[in-house]
Formats: sequence, structure tokens, C-alpha cells
Amino acid sequence: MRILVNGEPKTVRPNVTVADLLVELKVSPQHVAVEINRQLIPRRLHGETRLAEGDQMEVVTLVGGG
Amino acid sequence: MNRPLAPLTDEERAIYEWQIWVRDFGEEGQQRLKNASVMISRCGGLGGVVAYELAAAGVGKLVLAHGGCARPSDLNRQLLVTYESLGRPRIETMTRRLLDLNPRLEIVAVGENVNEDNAARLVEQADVVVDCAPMFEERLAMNRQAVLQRKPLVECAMFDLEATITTVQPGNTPCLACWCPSVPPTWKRQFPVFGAVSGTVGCLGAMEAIKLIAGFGQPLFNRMLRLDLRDMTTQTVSLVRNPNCAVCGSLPRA
Repeated sequence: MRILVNGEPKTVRPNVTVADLLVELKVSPQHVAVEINRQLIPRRLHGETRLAEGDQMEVVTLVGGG
Repeated sequence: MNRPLAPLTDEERAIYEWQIWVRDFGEEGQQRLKNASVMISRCGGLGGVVAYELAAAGVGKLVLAHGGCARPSDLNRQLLVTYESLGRPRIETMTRRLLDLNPRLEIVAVGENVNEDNAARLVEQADVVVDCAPMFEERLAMNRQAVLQRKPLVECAMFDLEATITTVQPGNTPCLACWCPSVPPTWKRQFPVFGAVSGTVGCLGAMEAIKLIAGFGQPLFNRMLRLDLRDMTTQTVSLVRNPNCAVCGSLPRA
């Protein structure tokens, strides 16, 4: 299944959850905010939220250095 | 920012001549900068560059918050800290360096970092806030006050060779807490940094503040710009408000 991650096309397993996809992307879930189709997905829902064909996912890394 | 604008002096016209040539800015933009105040939360590797650029650009008043005494490990990036000032309060050398560049500048110098107790009175004194603090506790305190007081807030941050920046307009754009509701548990006080990375995002943050004050260009509303200086790629990520945000969720559109 094809989705967009931060604007880049990516092939992922059908109906993969946000939590599993973050593991595949090697991203720590505690350091990111995730949006799918312009809706923010709270961290507690990462495990039950599944991606669908054509979804647009944004992964925003939280950095705080100043 | 609808109060009458004090006019420029002949000296100011001479100093700012080259930026008054900038399209859509002009003498009125310069007058707006002169009559504006900006609060900068920490003036280290990132905020020090914001402060220096805004002092150079002729912003009338800076409210600066930065605690502690200068340490050797500041010198790779905190451009307002000097070798001679090691061991002395950072805010003193920062203030002096800024006044060396622009003696017309009014500075409110606070020798402490932002916290829940002082955030309200710091934000009160400014038209625009630029958040450059290295701790999420400080960032979230600043964000909460900026939202409560409906002041635009430029959120600049970096880690390693990565930098992010977005601009919050309370009620109209997501605030920091929309997508970062609490302190990320593994974030540490110390982080890898080159001054050239924190300074890059500092320059971008200063330009956001200038655009907000002078009212031209398109600030990073509802967008986060991410730069990776390791491979020199940039990305613009759309951000949306969280309707359940504990800080700004109930705020109506401005």
C-alpha cells in the first residue's frame, strides 16, 4: 500500500498501525507528533490507528535545543 | 500594535537605509520595528543570534531572559558570551554586547530563565515572543502565556544538525502544546550543537519576528519548517490545531 510520509511516497504494509510504522521508520514515538490527513493523532491512539491507501502522514520530530 | 509610531531620526534613516530598500518593508516597516518590543527566552546559541539580529535591525526594545554565569562550554555557540566574561552572569555580557551594536536599544534584562512564575510578566512587556529555550518546561510556560495574552510566538529549536521553526498566532494556528502537550520524557538538558546550526535557526527566527512586526511576507503560520544541515534538505510540514488542546483548544479564532 502506498502512502505519503512527510510528502514522500512510501510503500508500507496494508493497514499498518501508526505505532508499528514509527518502529519501522526508526522514530521514537515519545519524540514525535503524528498527523494523518491533517488530523493530529494523540500518542495514546498510535497503537490502534491504522493507515489506509493514499493517506498523508506527517511525522514531526520534537527537538528543543536552543 | 496600533499606537502612534514614533518617527525615525536622521541617524536611524542612515543606519537602516539598506533594509528600508526591502520590498514591502520601507520606512513604515522600520518605524514599526523602532516602536516594537520582542521578548526572547534565553539568549544562548539560538536566542543570542535572534537578539543580535533584532538589535541590528532596529527593534526598539528587547526583553531578555537568561540565567546563570558564562561557562567555557558556552563559547562554541553563544555568540553574545565572550571569553573575558567567563564566570560572570551571562545576562550582563549579553546586554553589553547588544548595546555596543545598538546604543539606542532599550533592554529589559532578566537574569533568570523562564518559568511558570515569571512568564506572565515577561510576555506582558512584549509585542512578539521568540522562544529559544533548551528545556521544554520553559517552552511550554512561554507558550501558555503567549496564548493567554494572545501574543504571536516564534518557536525555534534545534538538535544536532536538525532545526525546526514554526510561528504561533494564538487562536488561528496550532500552539506548541497542540502537538507537544507535555515535556518529552527523554529530552535532556545537554544536546549536541554547532553554533552554525543554532545560529541558522536564530536568523530565521529573527526574520519571522521582523515580518510579524512590520506586517509583510508570509510567516510560518500552520507550517513547520525543518532543516537538516547534515544532508542539506528542507521540509515544510503542515500543522493543524488540536481541538482538545489544554492550552488553546477553547480559544476562538482571532
